Amino acid sequence: MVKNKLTASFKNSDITFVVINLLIYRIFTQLPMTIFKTSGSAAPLSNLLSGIAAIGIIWFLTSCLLKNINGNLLDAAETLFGKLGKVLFCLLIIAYLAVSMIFTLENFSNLIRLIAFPTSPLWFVTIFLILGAVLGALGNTHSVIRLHGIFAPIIITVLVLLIVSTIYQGDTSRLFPLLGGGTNSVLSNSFSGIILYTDIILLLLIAPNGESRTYITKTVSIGAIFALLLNFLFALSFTLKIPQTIAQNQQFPIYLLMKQVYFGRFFQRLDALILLVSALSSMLYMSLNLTLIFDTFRQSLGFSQKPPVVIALGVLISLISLQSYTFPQNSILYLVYVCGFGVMAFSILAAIFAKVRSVLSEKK
Amino acid sequence: MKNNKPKESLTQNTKNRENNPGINSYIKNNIKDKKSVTYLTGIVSPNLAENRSFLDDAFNCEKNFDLVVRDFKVKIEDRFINAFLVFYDGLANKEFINRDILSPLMTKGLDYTPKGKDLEEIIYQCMISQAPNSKIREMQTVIELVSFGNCAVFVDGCNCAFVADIKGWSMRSVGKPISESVLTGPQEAFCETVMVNIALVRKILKDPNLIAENIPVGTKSKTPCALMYINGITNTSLVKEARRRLSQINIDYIFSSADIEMLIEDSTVFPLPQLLKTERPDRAAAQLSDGKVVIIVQGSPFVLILPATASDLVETSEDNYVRIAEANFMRLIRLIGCFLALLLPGFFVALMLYHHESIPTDLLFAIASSREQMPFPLVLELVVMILAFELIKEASIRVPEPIGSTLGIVGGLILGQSAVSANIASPLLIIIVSIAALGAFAAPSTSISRAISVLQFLFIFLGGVAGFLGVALGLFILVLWLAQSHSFGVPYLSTGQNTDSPFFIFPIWRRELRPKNLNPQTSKKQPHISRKWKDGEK
Repeated sequence: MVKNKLTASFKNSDITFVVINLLIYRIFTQLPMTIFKTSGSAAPLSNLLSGIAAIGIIWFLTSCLLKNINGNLLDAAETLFGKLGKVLFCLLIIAYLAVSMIFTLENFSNLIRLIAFPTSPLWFVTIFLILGAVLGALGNTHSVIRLHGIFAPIIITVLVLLIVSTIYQGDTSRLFPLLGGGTNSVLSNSFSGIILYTDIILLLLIAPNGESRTYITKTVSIGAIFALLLNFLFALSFTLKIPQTIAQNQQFPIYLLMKQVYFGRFFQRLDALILLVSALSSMLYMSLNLTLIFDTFRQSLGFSQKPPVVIALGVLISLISLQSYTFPQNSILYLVYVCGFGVMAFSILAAIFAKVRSVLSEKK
Repeated sequence: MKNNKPKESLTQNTKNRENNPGINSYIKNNIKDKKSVTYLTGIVSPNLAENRSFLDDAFNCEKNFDLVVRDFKVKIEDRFINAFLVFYDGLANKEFINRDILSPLMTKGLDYTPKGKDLEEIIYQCMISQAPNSKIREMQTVIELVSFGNCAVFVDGCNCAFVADIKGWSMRSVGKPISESVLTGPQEAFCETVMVNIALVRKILKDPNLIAENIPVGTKSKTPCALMYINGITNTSLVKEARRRLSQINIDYIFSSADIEMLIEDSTVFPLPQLLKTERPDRAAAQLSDGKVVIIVQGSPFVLILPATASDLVETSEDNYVRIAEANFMRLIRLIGCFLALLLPGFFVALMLYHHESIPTDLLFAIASSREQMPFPLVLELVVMILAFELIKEASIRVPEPIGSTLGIVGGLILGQSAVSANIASPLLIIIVSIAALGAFAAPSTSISRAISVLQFLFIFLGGVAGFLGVALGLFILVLWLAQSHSFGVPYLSTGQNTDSPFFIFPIWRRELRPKNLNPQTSKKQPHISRKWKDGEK
């Protein structure tokens, strides 16, 4: 065997693509619609402010936690809050990952059904997505990370194509008034828009294994800035292209936007490509999610058998997502909000503790 | 009769031999006279009759008409010592035997007895003029060497055999590469003889650090396999692993490098090749200089290069002999060809069945009208046409060369045209199948081309079941499989990084470092500025 130290860690470039996919895959779900619906013409601005806040948080978390604590976020939790704190934090992370995955699976399945299989039952689409996710998670974490490095550029290219093909035909008057419903509305939407970026905490579970820890903050920041730019441009093109009145009753912003694309006689529509990349993006996200759920289980509860845990989780999550119409409206979305903000708050707290501890130890 | 070994050790030897039949299958199975010293110890006896009897049994002399056992007398001064030689007619060169062995020993002899030398040394140092000559004491080794074209000489009173390497079987000379032909590069190809092949590589590299270890594989055939690497460059753990895998193959006969490939690769079900095969010495030499290991197998004109990664699969020898822009363009074309061959049929099915909106309306109408008369579903139509094409491809390989072109015309033109006329296949589908076939042909090696041909059915099936969602799943699983796989410890999707981008090459002066994923002992190939004349210009 070629004993290569580097293969034991993740390539920094792959981590950059993980960051990008984690931060842009929400474009395919109905989550951004909450911003478009409430912000109106101020959606790009709200989105930009959310993104800037997210980058600030990412920078703070990576620079404070990764520099001051050896290991990943869970190790940091154990160092700072003891074993009980770690278990609680693990449970919170597992809850967030599971709820987020249910939400994502439901949304992607609906989007794909909307694009290509309007007459098929939802489970038909769900099966394909969960199969990809489970098979991805059954492999090792390295291969899932490597897959991001391969597929994320394709996903980005299609999104850029979508943005470019819609933005130049947009009506700039729809951007005004710039502050939409007022400053308060922009700020509140900016704050709630941070939910688009809560998956950044997953990075803190992966990033410490980057091949070059010295440059990890830079690596993550580059990915985050690129993802923010894409999200902002997406919000901009949506606002320029879609009249607010139509958007009120729709679920998926990307579906509305891609309907506006017409390339002429040769290649008319982007629907098929969007379907392809959204399916890939969801499989990437969900397989990473499942892998991390298992890793968290392993680190907190000591599970070691991967296949049974991953398969059982996959089946459970797909069943819950298929039955989600029986839950109160938007209940899963609210759960995502609560768990997401909870995890993020916990992470920020941990980062602050770590920073304070390192400052104190330096003084001593 | 000399016998230096004490009785105890002789008995011990016998016990060991009885307990371990794998050590010496010839001795264990074939020898009738099991009480002879040669049988008991496994070494050559000073008694000529015992050796003769042993070899008669070991080689089945009564039945093997091509085995030559020639008795003669060695002339030293006025003494005549009994001797015999043994070789296979057709494997050994009789001219050399007459000139370099029989003539010096039998006819010319030695007119004096050199002082202070025993018979063994006299014969070895003063009489046999053949250069590759060795004294062998193990009977098993003698048998193996004679079976491989050597000539063994036994002399009464000597407890060793003088084995002369005078292989003389008829072999193909160094010819032109057939499957890796290039327009502008060298036109030499490997042949079936391991020593010639080693020499072809050595001739290019001219490096004393180039090591060629002989690892015989096959418990009966003992097929020589040369494990080649460059000392000081190749990762030692890679060499160790290759040596370990080769030496631990437990099979009776080996026929070609394909057998070795199957026996040492990481996964047999993995669709793409995990070891590169080449018939070009220049390619093997280039890979060795990058820190890879080469395995040359006797009897096979294709050598194995390991490890192989996905980025190696798009490479051809031609890339190094044309201008960089041209090489990269050709790589791009090959890459597109491979992707078209793999995905186009699946994409076509997905588009036609689920995603009409992406097809231009005029074209969609044209396709719909052309398919009006078709009796079969699209997927079946496509599968039938691809299978028909595969049939033509397979048949054209099997038929004699002059008929091959005729078969191509019959298959490609007449069958395709007739299928369209008979409303069995639509013209667009024929175009799709043809493009996919051309793409597969553009693959740098036949093993990749065949792998693609098999995998495209998976994408047709998935595209037929769930359109682009199915294709996405297939793509995800395939790439995941590739990402998880390793070739001798090197991740399959890893790239050299230091030398090339994954799929494109840089000019030779930019290739400063060896591939990082191989973790070579010496990573630097050349200094940062290898074109010193550029400095002079500044």
